[in-house]
Amino acid sequence: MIKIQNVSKSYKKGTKVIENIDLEIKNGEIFGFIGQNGAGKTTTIKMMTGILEIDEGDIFIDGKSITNEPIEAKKNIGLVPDSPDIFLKFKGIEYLNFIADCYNVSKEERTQKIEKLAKEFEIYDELDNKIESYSHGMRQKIVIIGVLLHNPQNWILDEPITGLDPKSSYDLKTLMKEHASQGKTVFFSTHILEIAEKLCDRIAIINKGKIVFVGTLDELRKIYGEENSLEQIFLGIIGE
Amino acid sequence: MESKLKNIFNLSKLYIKENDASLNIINTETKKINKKSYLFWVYVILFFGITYLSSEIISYAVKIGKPEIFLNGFILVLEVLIIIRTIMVSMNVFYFSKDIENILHLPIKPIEILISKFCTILFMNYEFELIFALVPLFIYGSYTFSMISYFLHCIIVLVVFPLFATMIVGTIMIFLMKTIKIFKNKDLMQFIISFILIFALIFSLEKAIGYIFNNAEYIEQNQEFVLNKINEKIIKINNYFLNINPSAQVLQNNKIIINYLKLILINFVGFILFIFIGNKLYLKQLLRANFYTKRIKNNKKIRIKKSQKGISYIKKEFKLLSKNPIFLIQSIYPVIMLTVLICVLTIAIVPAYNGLIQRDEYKDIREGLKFNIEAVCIILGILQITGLFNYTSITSFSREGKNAYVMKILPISLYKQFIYKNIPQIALNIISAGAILAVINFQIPAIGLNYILVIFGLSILLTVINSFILCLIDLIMPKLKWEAEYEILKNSKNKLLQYVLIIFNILFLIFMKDLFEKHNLNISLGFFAGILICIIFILNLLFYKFKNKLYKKITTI
Repeated sequence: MIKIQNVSKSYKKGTKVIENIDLEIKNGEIFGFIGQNGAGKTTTIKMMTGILEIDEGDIFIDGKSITNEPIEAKKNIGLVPDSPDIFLKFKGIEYLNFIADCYNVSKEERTQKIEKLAKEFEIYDELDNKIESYSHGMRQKIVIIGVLLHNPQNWILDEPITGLDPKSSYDLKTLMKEHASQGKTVFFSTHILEIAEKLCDRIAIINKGKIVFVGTLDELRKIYGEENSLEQIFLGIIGE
Repeated sequence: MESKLKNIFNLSKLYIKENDASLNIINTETKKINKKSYLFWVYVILFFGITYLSSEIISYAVKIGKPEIFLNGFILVLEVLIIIRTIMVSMNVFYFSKDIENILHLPIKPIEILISKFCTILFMNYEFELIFALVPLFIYGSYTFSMISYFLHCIIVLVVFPLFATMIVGTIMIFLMKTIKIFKNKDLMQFIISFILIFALIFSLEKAIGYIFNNAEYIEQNQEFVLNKINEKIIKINNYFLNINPSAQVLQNNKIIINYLKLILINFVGFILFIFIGNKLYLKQLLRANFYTKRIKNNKKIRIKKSQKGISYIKKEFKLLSKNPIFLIQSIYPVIMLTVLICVLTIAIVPAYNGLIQRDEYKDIREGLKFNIEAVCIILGILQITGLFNYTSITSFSREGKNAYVMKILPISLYKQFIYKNIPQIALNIISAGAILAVINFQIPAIGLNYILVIFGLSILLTVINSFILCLIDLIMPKLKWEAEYEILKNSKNKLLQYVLIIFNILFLIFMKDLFEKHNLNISLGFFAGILICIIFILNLLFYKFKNKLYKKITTI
């Protein structure tokens, strides 16, 4: 469970990029975080994962404060960033071993998971190659495998579908559903409304650092008119 | 032919401009000198330093009536420096620079690319000469009351001089790229080839110094005999480099036309050889270096292994350094080179010095020699020099680039991660100090192994402090947004702070020497170690307290 409590953030004094956000993402839920570019999605994710300091408020990961108990909170997070270009000079297997070591994943567990996930994602034969030789989609897959190795209670993904081919995109969505069905949390940001529509139990719309809607898609339609498409509703909310 | 020359000219101009822009000494918009560039000030300091040093040496050489020793020796040193510089840059410029991929699809012949690349390196060498050679040679001219023609010849010689070394090193590089087929990994190949060549050069240097300062020949001989002998030997060594003696002869106004003809012939043959080998081999190698796919189909079982969290993190740090040739060349390479150079120079110079002080006129010096806190500080100061070019800690956070955010999401405390990031520099400096002290122990047994071990311990403490401060600087002012790895160090302002720190360290050592000069050596060393341990403790305490604030800039994702 993720609880964002009255969180604000400003990069320059007096200009808040995130203003008093309150959100609660329950276990077993796929939660979509929707907003246009620059709305504050990545900043929120950075604060949720401890990358950015929180100016006001707090964020709790399974009851652990990311500010006061960062190590305990981080053990329960798995983050997939929007750019998967990391550790490019490492071989895929070296990266996975490093991540598994950091999360104390046993040898048996990591062997079983790497084999299963890498074969599912069809990159098992590439694990002995350097990540720099991988395509964008393959890099995304290796990061996702890294995240799933320690089976985090809360899975946070920043624009996860960008750059994936249809098959990988389908596989990822299936994994997200599987993860939620095990009673775990999936929080992901996107600006592709169709994905949110097909995948999310609930969504939050963020505009200029403020949450302007939280609820299910049905609730959204009820409020903003059922005859309108999701796209029209979204544009209406953000005032375009 | 005309279009070929035009292509070569345009490409060379492009590469040279690109190189100058990356140095950031000239502001590309205003076309004026960028006084904010640290490199500009480094060059200014070097320029004045070299001017002062060379005028002192030349005036001494003139005073004893042997100015030609300076000229012969200086041109030899210049040649060696040009060769080292060409080795360092040529592999990257010829084969692995980023622009090659953008050029290859254009209707330009490989030989045209090769020649323009050659011109780029040549231009770099001219810039080098401008700083290191022009003023010393002009000072030589004025001290020896040379005529105006000397200065004209001087400019011509400086234009012609780097041609030969650049062509020969370039040819050797192309040839080695062909012969060393076993290294399919271009990163490794780049490292190994330049490593072999520079090591060969350093060991030749050791032999040359040993040969020039062979004490057995000088004992009980007068100064004139010794100087003549040294000059003779330098000329003999210069003969191995075909272009040195003709250049020196021109500058000494000896058989000018014949020596110019020799220079033309040598360079013509060198150029023909370079073009011939380049024409045969360059394109194939170029394609292999740039488009060689390293992906292999893996049929064997992959290696899944478990390590301790901390050990795995430290391994990651070493892998980040060693798997990237730019990081390797920028951070580790200079330390290895300097360590070898200091060891080689110690092996070559200490016996020569020992021989020299056996002469009667140096009796006072010989009797005044004793091992004290000053000697300890001098040895520690020498060990600091290798630290001067160890850029491992000053780039420890910047090196992460896009990976930086991973530090923040891992369930490992920020304090521990900071400590782990210090390990590579500390390990490297320990190895370097160990090697140098082992050579010192072997060459100067009078110091005694117990004191060598104490100095080793003190150097480790100093290394820990240095590494800690440098890591801290990089953490506070990291450069995480970079496209190519070389940008981290090339445009780094932090590097300047590293030099300041080393100067501060040397001042600290001088202060320690003054502080403990009149005390018992063993007690002094104990206090010295105590002071260093206290500094480490305070630094740790301060970091632990402010760690969250210090990691504020590590936010890339």
